[in-house]
Amino acid sequence: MPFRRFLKKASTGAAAELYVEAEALEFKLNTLTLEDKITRYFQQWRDPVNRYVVAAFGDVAEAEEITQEAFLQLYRQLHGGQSITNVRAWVFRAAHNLAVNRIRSQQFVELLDEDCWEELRRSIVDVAPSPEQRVLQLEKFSRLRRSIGRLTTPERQCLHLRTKGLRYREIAQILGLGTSTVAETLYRVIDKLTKENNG
Amino acid sequence: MDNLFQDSLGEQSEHPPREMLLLFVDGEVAAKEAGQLEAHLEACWPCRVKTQKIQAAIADIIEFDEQVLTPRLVPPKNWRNFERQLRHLVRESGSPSLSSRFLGFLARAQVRLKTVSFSSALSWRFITIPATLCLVFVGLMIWFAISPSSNISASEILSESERRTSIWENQPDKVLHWGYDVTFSNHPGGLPDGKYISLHWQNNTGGKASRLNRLYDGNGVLVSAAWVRKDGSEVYFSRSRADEIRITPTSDVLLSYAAHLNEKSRQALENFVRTSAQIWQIHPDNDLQIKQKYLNPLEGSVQIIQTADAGKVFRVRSVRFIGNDKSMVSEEIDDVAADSFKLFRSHQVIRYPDGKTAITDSQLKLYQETSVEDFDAHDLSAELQQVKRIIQISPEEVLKIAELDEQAKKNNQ
Repeated sequence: MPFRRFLKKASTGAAAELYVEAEALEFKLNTLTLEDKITRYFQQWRDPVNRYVVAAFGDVAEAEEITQEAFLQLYRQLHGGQSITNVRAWVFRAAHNLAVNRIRSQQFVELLDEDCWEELRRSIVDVAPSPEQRVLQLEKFSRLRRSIGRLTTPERQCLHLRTKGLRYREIAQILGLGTSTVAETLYRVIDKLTKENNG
Repeated sequence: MDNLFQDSLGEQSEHPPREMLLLFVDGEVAAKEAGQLEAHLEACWPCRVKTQKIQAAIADIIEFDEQVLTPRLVPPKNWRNFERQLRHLVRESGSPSLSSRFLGFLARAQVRLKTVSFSSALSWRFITIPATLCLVFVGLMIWFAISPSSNISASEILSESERRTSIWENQPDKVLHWGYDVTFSNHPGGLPDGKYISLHWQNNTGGKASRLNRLYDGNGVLVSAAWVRKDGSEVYFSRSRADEIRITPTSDVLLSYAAHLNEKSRQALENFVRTSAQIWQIHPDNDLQIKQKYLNPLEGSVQIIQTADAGKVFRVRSVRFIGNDKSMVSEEIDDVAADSFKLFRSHQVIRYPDGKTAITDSQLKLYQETSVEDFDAHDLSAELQQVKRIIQISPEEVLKIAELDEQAKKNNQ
């Protein structure tokens, strides 16, 4: 009863009844039903995960389903009582593995085919502030597009995971590599991109 | 320079390898090495230029990602489908239904009734649930009829206790201090089983209340603390995260953020702010109304239990479904002083859907008036000075909670 009285703003809150008020807010987050939690994780990370799958595997059609399936796997995992310390990395890994297994075509379909690229050129022309800048930016983007297109599969995967904010150790877990391999790979990516861009 | 800048042949070289510079830029270098690198970069032009090139490359990649790749990727329209799939999965993976939970609860209640309230020659195995409930009802009626102190109902005892406590805590211009000895067993927040001391202060000076709670373990170590400030912001400390403190935005910040939201979100957040403001205002009736709205014990069953010291103490048992999906059962036994209606002892058992139970025993230890100085001496200013990191909870995060609250309210209606 004393604890029930501390419970404020909380129609949710069985939770806080047992819980010290000090952690009521966090408790509320912790006592969401698993379904609520998964929904929140999904809203938070579906776009980065989806973008990773598309950018790294090139299959737009499959990516949506893979992304959703990764979060459903997360539900099964947590429902089964498994604890996951790094949920974000876990979801990326699940999506990565699903993509490896499902996207059998192995032929990387470039996200930016020629039509897309033309369309993009036109749209950049519309937004860039001055003609010189447009030209420079377009040149830079063409170079980047070319050099990213030439990356090996692991290089591309490391790059896109890092772009989504994952740390080296997390990338290593997701791709099943050593942290030092990730560091070397990322360095190679940067090296390739700087060389291309400067020359 | 130690062996930091050793090249692949193991030779000491003057400059760090370029890979190391990328690690440095990416914050993947240990603090000690980072210090050495920083010192080197300050002194070394070529390495600084190399570092800048790496950073420029990263900037290009991000620009390309944001301006070229991301806009190409129209987010799938079918995300909505996910919730349907998830709900399907939830059903499939066997979360118990409300009706099955209710029947399960009745079965347990039946067992408890047998041990606590009645001794009967009837064989309980053959009694149906409605018959059980009828018997409870009849039994209670008889109890009320014969009991000398039965002119007040169990739920009236609880709400009178709430009312008086609320009046006591909200005395204008006073600073109040109270505390409990608490025993946790199987605490859902993961606190070790054992004895704790929970101390509370409320400062009602200046027409607005601020509030402070500190929980100590048996060794007198602060386990967690919360401080609701007069500006509506809340400061949370927990020992398991001793290197950080979390702070929620002030009411003003939340309200100005709310002003830019769509109608539904704005209302959710404004309700949230209003409710907390009302709770911390010093209007006992107002306060109580809100508390009763959320805390109505009548959601479940409430009954008086006869004790040896009947007349001095009301012992009230309440059983309710709790949790935002009503999947937990709370059984609570409260002892309330018959003269002052002070709730001085409480025993609560929460049963989770997975069969686990958590038990909290609390005993009122002190309630007294104190000074503003005493309040200030215990607020979290000192902790705020010491922690490594202060995490500001964003208005967006609070909005999410507010929206969940609205959702839960709707579900409860």
